[in-house]
Amino acid sequence: MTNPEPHSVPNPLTKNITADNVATPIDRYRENDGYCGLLKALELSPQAVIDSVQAAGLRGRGGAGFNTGLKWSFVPDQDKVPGPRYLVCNADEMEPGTFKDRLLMERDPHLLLEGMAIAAYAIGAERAFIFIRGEYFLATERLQRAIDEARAAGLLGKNIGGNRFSLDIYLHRSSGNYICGEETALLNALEGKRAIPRAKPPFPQVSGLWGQPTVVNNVETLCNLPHLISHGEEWYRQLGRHKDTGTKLFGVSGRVKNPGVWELPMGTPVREIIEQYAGGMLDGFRLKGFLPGGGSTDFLTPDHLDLAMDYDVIGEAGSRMGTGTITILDDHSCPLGLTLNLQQFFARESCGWCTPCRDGLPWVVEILTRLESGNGRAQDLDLLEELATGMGPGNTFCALAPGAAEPLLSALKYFREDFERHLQYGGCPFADDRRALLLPA
Amino acid sequence: MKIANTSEFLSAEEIAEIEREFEIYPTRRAAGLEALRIVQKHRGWVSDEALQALAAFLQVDTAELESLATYYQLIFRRPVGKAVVYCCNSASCWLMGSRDLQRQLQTRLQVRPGQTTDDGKITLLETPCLGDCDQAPVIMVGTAGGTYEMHRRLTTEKLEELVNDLQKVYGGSSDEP
Amino acid sequence: MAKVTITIDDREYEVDEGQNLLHACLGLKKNLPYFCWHPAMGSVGACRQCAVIEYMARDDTRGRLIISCMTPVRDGGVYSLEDERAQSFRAGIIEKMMVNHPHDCPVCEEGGECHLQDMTLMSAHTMRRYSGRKRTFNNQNLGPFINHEMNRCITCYRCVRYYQDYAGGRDLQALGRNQQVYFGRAEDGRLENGFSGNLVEVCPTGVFTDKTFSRRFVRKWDLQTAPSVCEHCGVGCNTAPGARDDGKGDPRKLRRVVNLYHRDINGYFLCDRGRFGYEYANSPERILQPLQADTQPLIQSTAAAGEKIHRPLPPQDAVAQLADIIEEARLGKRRLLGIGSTRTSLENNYALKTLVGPANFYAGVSAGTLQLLHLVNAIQQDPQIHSPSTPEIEQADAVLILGEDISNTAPRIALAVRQAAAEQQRQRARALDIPLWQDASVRQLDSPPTPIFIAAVEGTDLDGIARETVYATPDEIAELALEVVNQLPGAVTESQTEASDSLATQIARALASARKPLIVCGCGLQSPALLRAAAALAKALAANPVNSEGTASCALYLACADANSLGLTQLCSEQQHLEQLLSETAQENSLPSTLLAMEVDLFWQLPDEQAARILHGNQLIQLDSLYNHTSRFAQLLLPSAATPESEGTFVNSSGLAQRYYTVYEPSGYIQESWRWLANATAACAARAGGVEKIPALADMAQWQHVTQVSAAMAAGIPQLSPLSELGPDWNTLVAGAPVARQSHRFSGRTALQAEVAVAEQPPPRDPDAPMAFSMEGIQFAGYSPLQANIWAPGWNSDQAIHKFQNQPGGERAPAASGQSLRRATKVFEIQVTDTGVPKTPVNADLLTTLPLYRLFGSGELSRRARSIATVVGQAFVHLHPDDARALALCAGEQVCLPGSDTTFEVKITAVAPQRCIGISAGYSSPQAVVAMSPQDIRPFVENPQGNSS
Repeated sequence: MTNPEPHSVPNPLTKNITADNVATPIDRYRENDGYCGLLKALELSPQAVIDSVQAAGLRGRGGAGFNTGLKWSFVPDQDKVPGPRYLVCNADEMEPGTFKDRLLMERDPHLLLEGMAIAAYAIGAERAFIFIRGEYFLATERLQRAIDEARAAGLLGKNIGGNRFSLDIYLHRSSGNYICGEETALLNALEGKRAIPRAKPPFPQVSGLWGQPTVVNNVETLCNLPHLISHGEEWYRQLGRHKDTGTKLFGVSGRVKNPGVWELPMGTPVREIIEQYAGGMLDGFRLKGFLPGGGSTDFLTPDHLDLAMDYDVIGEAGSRMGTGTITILDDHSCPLGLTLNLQQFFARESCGWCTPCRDGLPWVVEILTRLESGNGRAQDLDLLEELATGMGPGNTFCALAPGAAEPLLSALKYFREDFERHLQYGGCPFADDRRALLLPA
Repeated sequence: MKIANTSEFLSAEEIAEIEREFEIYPTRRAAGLEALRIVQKHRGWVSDEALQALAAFLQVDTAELESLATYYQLIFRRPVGKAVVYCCNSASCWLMGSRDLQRQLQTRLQVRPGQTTDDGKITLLETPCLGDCDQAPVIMVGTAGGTYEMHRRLTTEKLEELVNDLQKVYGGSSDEP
Repeated sequence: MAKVTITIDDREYEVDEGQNLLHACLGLKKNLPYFCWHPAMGSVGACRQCAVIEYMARDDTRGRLIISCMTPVRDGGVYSLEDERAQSFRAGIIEKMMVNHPHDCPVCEEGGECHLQDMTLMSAHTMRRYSGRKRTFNNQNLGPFINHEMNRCITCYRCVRYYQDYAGGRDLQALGRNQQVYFGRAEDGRLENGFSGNLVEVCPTGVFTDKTFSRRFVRKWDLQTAPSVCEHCGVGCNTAPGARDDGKGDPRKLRRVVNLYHRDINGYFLCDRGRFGYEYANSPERILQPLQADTQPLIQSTAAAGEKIHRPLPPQDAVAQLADIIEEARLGKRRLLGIGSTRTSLENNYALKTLVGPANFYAGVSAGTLQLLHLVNAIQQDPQIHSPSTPEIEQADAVLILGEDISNTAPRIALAVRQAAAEQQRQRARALDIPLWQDASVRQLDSPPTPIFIAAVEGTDLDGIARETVYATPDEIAELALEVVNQLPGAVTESQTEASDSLATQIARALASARKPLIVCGCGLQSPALLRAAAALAKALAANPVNSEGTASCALYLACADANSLGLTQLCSEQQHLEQLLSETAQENSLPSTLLAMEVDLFWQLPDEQAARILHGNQLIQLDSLYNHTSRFAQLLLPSAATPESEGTFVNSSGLAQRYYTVYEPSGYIQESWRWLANATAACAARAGGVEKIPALADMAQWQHVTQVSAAMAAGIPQLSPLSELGPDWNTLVAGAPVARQSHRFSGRTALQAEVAVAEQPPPRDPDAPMAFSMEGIQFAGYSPLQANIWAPGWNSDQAIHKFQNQPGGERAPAASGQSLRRATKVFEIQVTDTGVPKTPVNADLLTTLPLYRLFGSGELSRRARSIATVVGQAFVHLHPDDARALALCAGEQVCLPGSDTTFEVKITAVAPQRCIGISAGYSSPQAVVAMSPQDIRPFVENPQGNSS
């Protein structure tokens, strides 16, 4: 956590996070109003909690930005679908360039647990799972300790806070694969199957884990719930600076002076994040473009710096806010190389279920590899565009390949000249440039 | 090879841990992925024999378990070294020079990603984003003992130091005679 | 079903509501390419090949791409298949699939009937743009039936969806991920599931191909075919055998068997016995010409007493010899006794019965078997009993299997029961508005499995889908069924479940509350009491007011062993069995006796000792296709046609009479049994000076066509009257032409015999069916049900079948073959208190013998098929551990049983009823006794004389 000078804005998500790399222990968490949100929620009806979250305008922080309360409201009544409900926390943070959920889990695990308890109460779940990345060993350790603490404190387990509500939270360590972040693939992984996405409809809220109604929420989304419930939806709505509500973890990586992650109001302009919080570009580097929220979002350019980081604003600019962690493409790095790197990632992480993704992405990689090494052909750029278009939304089974198409199509759009230079140059024009650069000391 | 007796092959500790998972999952089959992870935690990797023993224990076909084991990248079906070096090569690390670090590692250890040093001590793997992009480039080192350590903001010099440390602790071939 | 109106490329159609758009398009006979979808397995949306454009409304010109198999038809929906974007997207999908495909069509067995080839052409992908390396895989040895060539894989997932989800197999899995997905086993080895052969047809390209066919491969278009009925069990699956003469005199003309769609029986799938059992027809043990016993005494023969050595005989001499015997019998100088068969046609049996006279005709089965078959026949005549079709079985919502190991005795029925296991999931899906064709979504639903209860004498392949399994003796199983009857009325009123409930109460509750309960039983365990108890239960359920949506009948499937078990039953009384024949021949008689054994191996039906006694002192004339144990004693052997070499009628276990047709002209002097008999009768008539001189046989002496035999039966036997409606007569042309057995691409017809004679011979004429042994005639399967080459322009693979169904998965048009027997309706009187279950064991010291069936090994003909023979293995006995201990036997030990020279391997299993000995059926002659003394089980001693070599 590299927060700059004290904020003028509230930072409910990160208020317990200090400079020390420790997890907030339960007593300190409780001293700081911890678990008040849960206890308040338990006094409300589940429906009232859902209404409040929906009215607060909390949108899913995993990247898709769907209204969280609305998502919950799709869980059918017991009369229509009897049996258990499940809550699943998606802690499978694996999107290239994304580094926000790990921070919350490692440093303030009780915030997540409290958020989960509120969500579970709202949807009527008595069992919840945290599906966590296998590589997040420290977060796993700290979450498990927090679960034990909360259980000992009567905040998990049977009859929480003397209420009739009971909840058990289990940690499930993922065995890898990016596709597990897709919520239905995640459910298959949790069921001990191959993580192949499922057809929607039926949505998980109707038929999820073991065919029962299930809600899957991202870590950061759930962490918003305690203060949302504590302070009410009106307070929460006013946290945002633009149309979207609440605060959000924003981050910047790449060749900036002060890469990091900060809790900022929704709608904070991109320029402010990059120039003020991340300290601007390193000396000798210019901003060529950026991925606003992870490897599956479209490139944007310096022309877009004054956009507000809001789901719809970034959407209208032709990209997605995604996870809100910005990756900077500098002028010494090859856009084609970065695109190839991303496509390699997506090709490898394809689950192998549908054709455009399974067989299209390796083909894209083959073409980009040829271009990068100077064996490209004039028609390759059109072919790339054709292949990327073929992987567009609706054409594939899930969002993985459309996510791969986003940086590819936008790179072809904004950096086409650089692609063409590879053809003319007979190789990567940035190679010498890169060789001349030294790694930062 | 057929395993005559599952419980002879799996340790009591492994069995106890797997049985704990049965309480969470509705069927033995559903705990298969967890069981693979547990066996790997104890053995470093999942051998053919372990796979068969586990399949018998879970009452599933070996092929069913193999289907899971070959799907998930963190399940190892080949032996790995005492230390596994996960070299992040995703976007942010790539931008910050992870290719050079990886090349440096390959040269120093004389292995390619997916391979283990001749002495069987150190395995090099490429990994997707480790979620530490503001500290790029990063490398994670996992050990047979189940510990993981992050190495952040790496440079050629820091990596050189890290490899030296690893070789001191775990061995591993060097490009020097 | 409600209809909706949709518009496709500016034309309006009315289609059934609720189906997906791909299904609707195929039902409208549109050419829309697809891969992962399968009519029996629904949609999963993996391949993305069936994409079309959907418009929001008529004035929407943009539209959006949708995947038709995953999109329900919408009333007023406007779609385009021909839109340029849809077409280029589909071409792009094929192009991506072909990135790694090896383009090895010339050496691929699938070539010419490959769905991938068809779809590639249909999608108009012609130019290859990918220039990288192809990924390659190593293949696995999957055993003697299936080839594996993974490089051809396009990753449509059909194989694992079929093998795992549909057929319940576990050893074939998707391995790996991304572009490296590999469909295979954990290691080399035979695919364990008994329906693995369907992978050959399910795979849209050449990953899984028929290894038995590969050995002597020809292209699909070079095969000649005709509709046939599988001869390897009583289910009556329809098949399309393919044959080709190599022109060099090789008698092995039959090349393969593939499924022939019949909605109500086999649908799209066959079992492996049915698919690979055909090789018996190519066996080197086929009798190709008449054989006569050598009269010269043999020196130093290894033959046992009575066994004969045979030498060929010209066919006219053989007919003359048979005519001599008929003549003697006619003149009262000889007794002629006929033994009919459950594995050959009604026509053959009827001819034999006509020849020897009804009083001298015997069913070639034991008394016990015949009693069971008559019981089945009587039960099925009861108005409260309903013999279910396969789709009905698949939709049963409660199932009780009583003793019959259908996975091994009626495999296709077991596959249907497996689909019933998901019925509760389907009901849950309906409640959640999930379309049933959305396969993966239905399968992921958490619901209690359909209540399936299995009572068996050993572990069965269906145990995994059973709610409860009980292992017991046949008598105990019958008692369980009766107890369920007794629990029925109470079970309806009290709905609460008690953990302490007895199994019978649980079963009673499940069956009584089901809308479509199903009882499965059969003749396998040789227990009349069990059959009666099953009938009693079904009748009690039929009387249950909640049941069966008010139809007042209950589905009861009764499995019979052979292809024509129930047919033969129609031709003989309950007394005309082999034991009766034995007592008949054992009586003093002044006349010499001749036994005319037609397509029956007495040593298969009876214990060795009894079979030998029947033969002792009697002359034997045998008609059969394969040389068998009985043949060794025959004076005269006449070569009979195998099923695909002849036309005739089988009656399946449900009482459905189906006609099968000659696929190819058999080799040598092989012909149908009835023809041998009719030929000899005609010779008799000629000698006697005209047919009018032998009035009893006059008709028979003039039979030229098998349909004349059928017509005689239809006229004379009331329940067989539907035979007259079974199919076109031999001279009834379709649209003025016969049906062509050979495709219009059939190659080398005029050159096939060139090595023998340069002159082009006219193709042989079919005397029995309006079909040509050539390419001239009706090619289009839509014109005649006799056309078994399912082909439509652009559709060279088996997927072409949808062009000849009213809709995918629907009835074949023109209607499929088959007529139910017209048996009189007759209440099957049964008292629950008097079903004949023995109340006390006969002798507590004795072990009850139980026949145990195996898909490969228990079939008389199929076990002699070349590839199947390699996997049959050794005869075995099953013992409960306690009994094994008492007998001091251990697993793997070899033992002998009385009256049999077979050695059996001891297998010890906890899932075996106690005080029983299970004996592999068909691996040796049947055991004489139903109870066996422990002293009878003797360890096998090698070289009992002790003379080591």
